[in-house]
Order: sequence, then C-alpha cells, then structure tokens
Amino acid sequence: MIVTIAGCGALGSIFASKLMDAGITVQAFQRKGATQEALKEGLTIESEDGSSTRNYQFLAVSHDPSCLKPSELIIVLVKSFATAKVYPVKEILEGNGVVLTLQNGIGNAETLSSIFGEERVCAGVVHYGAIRRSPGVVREAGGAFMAIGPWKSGISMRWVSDILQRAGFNAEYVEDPRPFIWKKLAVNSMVNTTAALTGFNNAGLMNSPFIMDLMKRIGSEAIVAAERAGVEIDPDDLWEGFIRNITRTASNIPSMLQDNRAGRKMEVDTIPGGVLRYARDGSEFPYTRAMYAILKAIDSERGY
Amino acid sequence: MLVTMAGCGALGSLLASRMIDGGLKVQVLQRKGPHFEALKEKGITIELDRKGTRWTFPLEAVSHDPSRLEKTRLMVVLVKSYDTHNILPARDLLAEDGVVLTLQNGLGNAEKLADGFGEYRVAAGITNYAAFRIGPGVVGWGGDGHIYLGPWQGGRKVEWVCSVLEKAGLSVSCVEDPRPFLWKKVAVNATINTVTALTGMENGKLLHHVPVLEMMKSVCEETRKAAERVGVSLALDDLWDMVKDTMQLTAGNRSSMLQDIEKGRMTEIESIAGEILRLAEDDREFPYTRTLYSLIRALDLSRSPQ
Repeated sequence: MIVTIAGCGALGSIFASKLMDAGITVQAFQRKGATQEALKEGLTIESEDGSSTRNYQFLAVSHDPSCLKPSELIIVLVKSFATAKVYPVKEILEGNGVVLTLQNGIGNAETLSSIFGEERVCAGVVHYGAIRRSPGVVREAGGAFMAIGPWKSGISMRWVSDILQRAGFNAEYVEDPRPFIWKKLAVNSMVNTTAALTGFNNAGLMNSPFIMDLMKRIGSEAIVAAERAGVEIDPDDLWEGFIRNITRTASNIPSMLQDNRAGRKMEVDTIPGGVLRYARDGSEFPYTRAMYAILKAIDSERGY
Repeated sequence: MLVTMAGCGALGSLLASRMIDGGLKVQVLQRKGPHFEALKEKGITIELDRKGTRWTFPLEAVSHDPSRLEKTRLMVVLVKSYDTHNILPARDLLAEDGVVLTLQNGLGNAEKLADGFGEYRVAAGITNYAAFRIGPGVVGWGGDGHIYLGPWQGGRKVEWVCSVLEKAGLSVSCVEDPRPFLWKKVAVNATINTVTALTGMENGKLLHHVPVLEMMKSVCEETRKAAERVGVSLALDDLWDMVKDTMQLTAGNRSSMLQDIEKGRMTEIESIAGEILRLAEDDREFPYTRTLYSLIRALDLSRSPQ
C-alpha cells in the first residue's frame, strides 16, 4: 500500500521515516519550496541525541497530484491555517481510502469533511517532538503517544491505527477523537504560545514557575471552551497528562517557537484563536486573549 | 552649580549632557564596568543623528564610591529601579537642604529613597526624554521630551529644582503631587515596554495591531484600579491617551525593556507590572498585567537566576 503525507514538515517527516522503516511505501504531497526540493533528494532523520542519522527516499514528492500514485491513506500534517489547500489530493484518494488529520488546532476535521466527505475522515492527536534542522533534515525529540478515531461515529477505521502501530507508534484507536483533539488544543494553547514568546523549549517551560502558573490559567480557559463545544475535560487529568507529555519531550522546541524563530506564519488563529472562538464576549479568557493578541501582532507585522 | 547624577546610563547620560550644555557641572556616581571606565576617561558622548555626529561632554568626577564625590544640593537618580537601594549609601553626598530626585521607571523608588534620605528631601517625577545605549560611554539621542516633578512629601517646596533644570535648557513642569504622574508613566511602561519587549517591535508599530491595542487598554484599566487602591484617582481615558500619544511620539524608538531583553540585562518588570500585581485583591485579578509579568519575569529569571 502507499501512504501519502500531505505536508512534510518536521512531524510529517518523522511519520514518513517510521512508515518507511516498517516497509511501507510513502509519497509526499508538498508545496513548492526549499523543503520540496530537499525531499526530492531524500529525507534525513537525526536521532534525538544527534549521534546518528538515517536517510530515506520517497516514492514521489510533488505539489501536483498527477505526479503521485493513488493512495489508501493520506496523513494531513500541513499547518492548520492551510488545511483547505490539500484539496488537490482528493483525486489520488482511493475509493475506500481515509484522510487522517493529526494537525494542531480545531476545525481541521471539519474542513477535510467538506472536501473528502465526513465518512472518509479520521482525526486524532499525536504527542511527538520533531525539530526542523534545515530543509529535508529533521531531528526526533521524543514522545510517541497517539490517539485516532473516525470523525463520523460508527465507521470502523481500526486498520489505520494498525498501520501506525506497525510503524512503531503507540497509536490508540478511539471511538470518538473529539475529547483528544480538545485536550491537545488545550495543551498546545498552553505550550506553544508561551514557548513562542519566551523562546523556551519544553524543559525551559517546565522549569519556570511563572510559566507553569500562566499555562495552568490558559489551560483552564481551554477547558471552559471545550465544555461549550460539548467535550468534558477533567482539569486534573489535563494537567497530569500535560506533565507526563512535556517531561517525555523535554528537549522539544514547540512548533510555534520554531515558526516564530524562522519568521514563518504561526498557528495563532487555530490554537489560541481556536479557544477564543468559544468566548462569550471580548472580556472572557483574558490569559488566552493576551497571548493571542501579542502573537497576532507579530504575525501581522510580518504581513501574514 | 554642581549636580550629582546617580546612575548615568542612557537616559542619565542624555539628561546630564543637557545640564552640562546649559552651564551646570555634573559629577557621576556609577557602578564599575566598561561604561564607567569610558565615562571616567572621556566624559559623556552623545550621538546626535544617524550619520554619527558626536558631541562629548566633560564630567567633573566619576566614581563608584560616594566618599570620593563632593556634597551637592541636587542629586538625580536614574539607576535601574532594582538598584535603587544601592544609592542609599550616598545619603551623605546630599546637602541637608538638598533634594534627591528620582526620574526612574516604575513604582517604589521614592519610598526607598525616603527611607535613606528622609522623605522631606525626596522629589519624584517622570520624563519622556529618550536615549539608547550605543557603546561604553556613548549614548544615542532618541528624542527630547518633558519632565514633570514634584515633592514626595506634600507641601515641600522644590520649585528651585525646576528652575535649575529649566535654566539649563531642560523642559520641566513643577507639580504639587508627582504620584498621578508616576502612575501614568507606569501605565505606559506596563503596556508599551512589555509588549515591545515580547514582540521585538518599535513603539509605533504596536499602533497597527488592533487585538494588541485592546489588550493594552485592558492593562490600563488594571493599572487604574491599582492606582485607586493607593488613593491615586485617574481616568481610564487619560491613561489610554497617554499610552497612545507615547506610541505616536516615540514611534521609531525601541523601549528600554526591549533594549534590556535584547542585551540580556535584567528588566524593570518588578517595579512596573510587579507593583500593579501587588495591589491585586486576589490572584485572579489583573489577568492581562499578570500574563505580561509572568512572561517577562520568566525571561529575567532564565538569564540571571536569583
């Protein structure tokens, strides 16, 4: 079978490498640019401590679906503000195929449902660190937990988690991915916003009592937003899970910080902005709102 | 007349150069370091424009040790607010009928000076003269402004300080109570300095971004509430106007907190946002100020743990 990675950034590259390690053929739907050029030559994955590297070849790397083969599984890992841009891969999705979104933020599964049909969409979260070193070179940064499930309830997509498990991921199959997506949104809103503004990696965030306090406040606001979207999140569960994951990925540089450093567009509208969409008025969720406002200013100043 | 400048960093150097230009003599109390050495050797160098035009202003004396300086009737304090306590050993430098004037950022400086010098000898004020450090002994001119100053103890007369500074060419107003002015400056610092420090932007750029302006206005409201709790009553519109005016008037400037963050120096966040938060009734109050404080405090601690 052929798996397509749509959006082969840091995390997409890790997925590609692990699938190829398991003997699965992988191709990349990748927009034009330095990363596309580099991936055509090959992908290099560095181990977490940097002591070893592995090289990989894709079946194909292109922004043009006519250069790609029909595919049963398309894993979407483009930035959440670019989700709609994966619509061209519709023509290579096989009749019984599945589109899996593991993106940050909320609203991605909804966007993909409108393109591919709700019954084709699988959604979930992944806690895995990945650091983009240069175009085509990515370093692993720990973690592995994943939870995925069908966006439309009642459709079995267990075969998708089977493939991911074969590739060595600790992929849990769940009946409803929504609670996991909201928990991840809460954690992203906590970790990515604070990291982007302080320059701290996960360990740095954890070691700062001021940031830990701020993250707890941001997390509490996301819990209220989730409740309004019909998802219950237990605050203690969220905090304990967060501590577990951030400890496991201590060396990771959160993606929003990587984007800020590189001057790339950040996922401001879909991460803190995703929480703010559920505020009842302009004074609710002040901690999330403050982070959103500052990050949005940085993005707008860059012309995004 | 001889004036003591306690803390001759960017702003201190600019004001001192103006005083020297206006016929006053200036001696400097300054901690050791490359800037101290340069001041001692060459005096103050001010770079007037982007072409690199420089003027040098001679100093009467430069020392880290108050006992090596002469007694004066006017001492201007411009050390960073976290260093104010280090000025207290210089109390004997001030004549009995003299005035120690703090023009520092933040709150709590006049109180600390009153502990050492006696409340009756303290004056406090704000200034929006702008300067930036170029190198040891060399400071860039960032724009002229105005000074508001008044006695810390109600009823004391400090008009003579204003006339001395005015005669030297500085733009000065004497006010009865400096506290409302200090709070207005705190609103400016709690908004513009913090957000520019986190975004790396010049002051004026913030004006283009609506969500961040809304947040800064919320910080002004939190500042207003805090000021009210210590008996200083201010209108939100006045604070917000002052913040907006400052962004416009100093559009091309990099705030002192941004300069501190860029150079890896400790910021004055404690005496700005920290002082507002100390007046919160509980830890849920003042969320916008708290967010900015937490981020910058975390940055400070990550560079110089203490």
